[in-house]
Amino acid sequence: MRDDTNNPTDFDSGEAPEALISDLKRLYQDDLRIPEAVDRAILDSLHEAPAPIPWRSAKRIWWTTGITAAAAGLTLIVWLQGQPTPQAPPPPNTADQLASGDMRQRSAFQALDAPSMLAESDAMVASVKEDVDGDGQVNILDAFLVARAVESGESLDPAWDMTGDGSVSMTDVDLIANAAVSLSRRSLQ
Amino acid sequence: MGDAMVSGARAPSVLSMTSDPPPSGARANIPRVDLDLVDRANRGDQSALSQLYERHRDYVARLALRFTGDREDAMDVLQETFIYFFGRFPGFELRAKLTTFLYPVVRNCALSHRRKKARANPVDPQSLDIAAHAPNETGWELETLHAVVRLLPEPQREVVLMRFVDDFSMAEIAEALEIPLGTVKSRLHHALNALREDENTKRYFDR
Repeated sequence: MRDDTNNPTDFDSGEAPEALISDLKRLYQDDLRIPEAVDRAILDSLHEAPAPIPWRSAKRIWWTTGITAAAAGLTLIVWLQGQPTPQAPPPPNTADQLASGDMRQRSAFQALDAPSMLAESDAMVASVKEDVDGDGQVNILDAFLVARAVESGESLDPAWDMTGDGSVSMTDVDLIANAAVSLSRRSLQ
Repeated sequence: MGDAMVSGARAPSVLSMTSDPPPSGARANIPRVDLDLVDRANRGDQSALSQLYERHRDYVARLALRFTGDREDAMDVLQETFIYFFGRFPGFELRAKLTTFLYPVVRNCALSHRRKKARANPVDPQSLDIAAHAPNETGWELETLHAVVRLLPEPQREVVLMRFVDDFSMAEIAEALEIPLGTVKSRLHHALNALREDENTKRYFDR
């Protein structure tokens, strides 16, 4: 492969003294024995299907996978850090409430932390007693509606009796407001 | 290590598969047997790939040892190199000597292997320590030569070994390293000058 030249130290043609070349070959032309297992593994790869991924492509795939995984992990961390402290459900006021399906339903609902599951539960939320105006959502407007009715002395719907004490009062308003705030904060997540 | 060593992740563009016909001069240097084997391999003959492996495995293993300095690592690099090479078929076009094509592949595989190991051991993952391993033969003359070669800057050392151990022509070195021919000549010139001026190796030039 080397260029032939009469000058053994002709730098332009890249020649060197034969003795130096000979010693360099003795030094660095190792006779490296290749184990049979290595031969077999390499030749066996010929029979594998599909064909091996070229190392350059494989590297690109690993990079892409790594970046995607890192982004997903980062998103998860950011999302988890944005989670509020779980809200304690409003304390049940009566034995009836404890036994009622509504309360059981809400407790189960509050135990769920995933936003997607919260979103799916909107329909369920709409059926709870605190949805006074029947718009499918429990929010502060429900509390305002009841509060205004209580303060103005208007006729009060017995369905607004959240405490189950037989009357509609500001205590019921507080319960609705509690539920509204709790649900609003969860819905924002 | 120099810039050329760091940029080892590039593919040998001159050797890549393109539709352009190769220069007749470059192709003329390719051993006929390799051309025939590549042609057969492209037609699906797996025994041709096996023969290509047998023809070039020792060269690849030797290079891998030079780049990794460790026999086990060299075997890993040997395997990765040939798995990559086999993956180029069918459709591989031999545009220069196979040794010239394989050199940057081995180098890149060794660099990649080094990066993987660097995760466990803090070494510079961007550099190879060429010819770091202890030579097989001993004797003060060879040991001295090894020590002086090790003192050469990495890019110069690489060119010296490619030229005088692997028998690459200077044009082939330029092609394999993707550097200008003038750079190859310059590196070799400086390396030989250093060997000539060193007290321990100037004897080679006095004979």
